[in-house]
Amino acid sequence: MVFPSRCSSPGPLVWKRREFLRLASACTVNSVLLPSLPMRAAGSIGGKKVVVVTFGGGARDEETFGPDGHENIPWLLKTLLPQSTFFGQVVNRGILGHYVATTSLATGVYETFNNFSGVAPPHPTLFEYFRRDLRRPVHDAWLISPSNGFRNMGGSTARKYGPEFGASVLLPKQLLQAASPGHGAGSIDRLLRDTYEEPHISGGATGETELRQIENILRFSRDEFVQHALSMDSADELSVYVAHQLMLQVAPSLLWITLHDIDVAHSGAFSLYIDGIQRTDRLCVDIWKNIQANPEYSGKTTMFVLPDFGRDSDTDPGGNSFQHHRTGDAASRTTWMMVLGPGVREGVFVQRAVESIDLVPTIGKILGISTALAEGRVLSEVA
Amino acid sequence: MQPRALSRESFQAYEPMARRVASEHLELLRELPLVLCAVLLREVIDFDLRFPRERTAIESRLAFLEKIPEAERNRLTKGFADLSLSSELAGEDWVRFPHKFEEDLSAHLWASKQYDTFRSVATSFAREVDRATSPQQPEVPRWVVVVLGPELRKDDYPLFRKLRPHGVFFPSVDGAGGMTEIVGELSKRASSANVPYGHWYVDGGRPENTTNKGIHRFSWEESAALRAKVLEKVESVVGSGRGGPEMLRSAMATWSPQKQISMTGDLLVDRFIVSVYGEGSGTQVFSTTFVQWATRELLRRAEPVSVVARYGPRQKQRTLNEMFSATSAEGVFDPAGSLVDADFGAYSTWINLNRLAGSDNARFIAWSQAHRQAIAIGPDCPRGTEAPGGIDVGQLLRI
Repeated sequence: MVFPSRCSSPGPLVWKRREFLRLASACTVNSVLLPSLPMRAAGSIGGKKVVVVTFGGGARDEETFGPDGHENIPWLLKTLLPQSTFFGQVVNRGILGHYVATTSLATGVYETFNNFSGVAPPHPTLFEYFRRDLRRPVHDAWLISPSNGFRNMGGSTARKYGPEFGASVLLPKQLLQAASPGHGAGSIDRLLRDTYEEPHISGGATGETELRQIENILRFSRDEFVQHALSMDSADELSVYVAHQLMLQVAPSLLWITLHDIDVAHSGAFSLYIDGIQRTDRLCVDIWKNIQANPEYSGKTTMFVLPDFGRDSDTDPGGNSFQHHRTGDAASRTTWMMVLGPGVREGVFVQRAVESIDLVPTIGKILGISTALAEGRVLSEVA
Repeated sequence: MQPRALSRESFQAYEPMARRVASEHLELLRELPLVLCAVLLREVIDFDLRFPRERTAIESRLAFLEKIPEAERNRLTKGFADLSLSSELAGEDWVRFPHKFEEDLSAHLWASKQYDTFRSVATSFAREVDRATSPQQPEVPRWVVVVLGPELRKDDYPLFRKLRPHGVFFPSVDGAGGMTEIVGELSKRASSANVPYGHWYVDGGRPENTTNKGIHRFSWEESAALRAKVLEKVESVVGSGRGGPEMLRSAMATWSPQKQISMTGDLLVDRFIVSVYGEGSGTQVFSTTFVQWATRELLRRAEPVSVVARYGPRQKQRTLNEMFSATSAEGVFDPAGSLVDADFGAYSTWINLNRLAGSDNARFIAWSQAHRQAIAIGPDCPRGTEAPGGIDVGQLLRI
C-alpha cells in the first residue's frame, strides 16, 4: 500500500475507457452493440463442454485492446474477436491478488482469504457444482494451474461440496520436476517458485502422483515428456501443451487453464510483460485451434478467455504502472472477456459493465447446473 | 493502543530527528485517527534518513494539520476515523513498527472490502493537504536526461512513441561525445545551483567519471556488493514462506546490511540505494528496472533539479528450457528487451517529473545512442513535432 503523496497527474495521458470501447467495438466484424439480449434457453449438458482460459496474470487494456496494444494481440484481434461475443467492461471488485482473484473467478464469490495462504476457498467452485449436480466422474473436470500454490483452488471447504467433488489438478511444472529428478540443480527450485505472488504450500508434490499423471493420464513416458518440455520457452507453453494432451487423452467436459506468464511484469521489465502478452495471445489461439481440431470438442465447446484483473495505470500517483496491481484503480479493476462457441453470437460487443464473478453463473446456465452459492449474475448475452 | 495514549516516551526508540519531530507534534498526533496517525508515523520514523525535501514536506503536513481549526481537521480526517479495524490490528505496536502495521492494514482493508474506501479517503486527503501546503518550487528549472546506452538496440522499434505527442522528435542525432556533453552539462548545473541532493547521475552499467562534489552518483556496477547482500536477504525472506510482497517490502524497509557497505560516503544516498534494491521489485535482477525505479524514487523523494539516468543492457530472462537445463544466463544480455524497457522507463520518468512542482518549466530529453534518435520536451518545444535534419547532443542540450 502506498499513501499518495502527490495527486497531480498529466491529465491528457489518462487512457479513456470509452475510447477503448469505441476501438474495440470497431474491431468486431458486425460491431453490434448489445445492452443485454437473452441468448438461449437453459439445457442439459448434452455433450457440451466448457474451456476457461485466464489470460494472466493481470493485463491492462493499454497493452491489449487499447490502440497501442493491438500489435501485441494479433491473434485475439484477427482470429478470435470476430468469432466472439466480447465484453468490454469486466470489473473485478475483489482482492487484486492472483490466487484469491482466480479462485474468486472459479467460485463466483469475491473471496477474502489471504492471497498468500494457498488455502481452499470457503465457497463451492464451478468444478464442484458441475460434478455434484451432474454426477460427473472425477476425470470430467480438470484444472491446470501455473504453480503448486494454486493447487487448492479446484475444491472448496463448503459443506455438501468439497474436494470429493473438486477438479482433478495438473501442475505442469511439478510434473516436470517429478519427471527429471536431479535436473537443473538450484535452477529447478527457482522455477518452482518463480512467481512474484506465490502462495506458499508446504508438502503437496510427492512425485509419485505426478509420475502417474504423466504416464496414465497424459500417456507419455517420462523421457518423452521431458523432451517436449525442453522445447518450450515458458511455463504457460508447457501448460497449454499439457492441456492439449489432456484433451486428446481424457477429453474432460470442463477444463480450466490458468496462464500466468504475464505476471513477470512484477520484475519491472516492460519488454518481458509485453512478451508475456504476445505469448498468451498466441497460446489462446492454439487452445482454440486444438478445440476445433478435436472431434470430442469441435462444435460443442464454449471457450471463455479473460484476465483475472488489470494492472495499475501509469498516472496513478499511488501506483506502480504496469508493474503491480495494488491501487484498486479503474485500470487495475477493469478488464475484458471473450466468449466463443456454438450458439454464441459472433462479432458482438457488449458495452455494459459486468463483473468477473458473473463467470460461474453464466457457465452454470450453459451447462445446466445450479450455482446457488455464487454471487454473480448470468450474462444473458451468451447464456 | 489508541493515539490518545501517546506520550514522548512512546518515541524513545526513534532516531534523534524523528524523535524530535514526533515529540514536537505530539498533541496533534494524539488527536488523529489511528490509521492516519500510524501512516504519518511511518513517514516520521525514517526522518533521519530522508532527503531535505521529504523532511520539509513531512513537517509542512504536520504543521498544516496542527494549525487548522479542530472542526476542519475532523472533517479532513473523518474518513480515516470511519475505517473499521480489527482488535488485533488496533492492538499492534504501530508506534514502533509502523511499516509492519501498514502491511497488516493493507491486508485487512482488502479482506474487509474497505480498500476502495481507504483509497478514496487517502487520495482526497492528500489532495487537500497538497493544495494547502503548496509544494516547494525548484531553485532552477528542472532538467532530466534519459540515455538509452549504446548496447540497447532493436531494429525498427518505434522509439519514444508515448512521448512524441508531447515534444519534438529528432530522428537523426549525431551522438559523438554525447555522453561527455551530458555529464558536463550536469556538472555545470551542479556548480551553478547549490541545491542539497539536487543533482544526480544514475547509471545502469559502468558510469562515466564525475568529479563535481555536487553530483550524487550511483550505478549498477558500483553497487554490486550491496546488491548481492540484498538478494541474499530477499531469498531468505521469500524462502521463509511467511507472506507475500507486502511483507517482503516492509521487511526490507527496515533492513540494512549487518556490515555497512558504503558506496558513496553519504549516509542518505547509501540508504537510498539500499531502499532501491530492498523495496523495489526486480531492481536486484534487472539493471533496467534498477534505473527506472531509482529514477522514479529520486524524483518522488529528493525532488531533484537535475537528473541524468542512463540505461545499460540487462541480463537475459531465462526461458523454461534454460532454467530446467541449469544453463546460466549470467553475463548474457538482452539488448532488444533492454531497449524496450528503457523506452518505457523514459516515459515513466517523464510522468514522474510531471508530478513535481515547476513541471511546466522542466526540460526533459531522452536519447538513444544506438538508434541516434531523441525527444525533447519543454516549454519551448512544440508538441507532436519532428525536427528536420540532423542535430548533435550539444545542440540538443541547448534547446
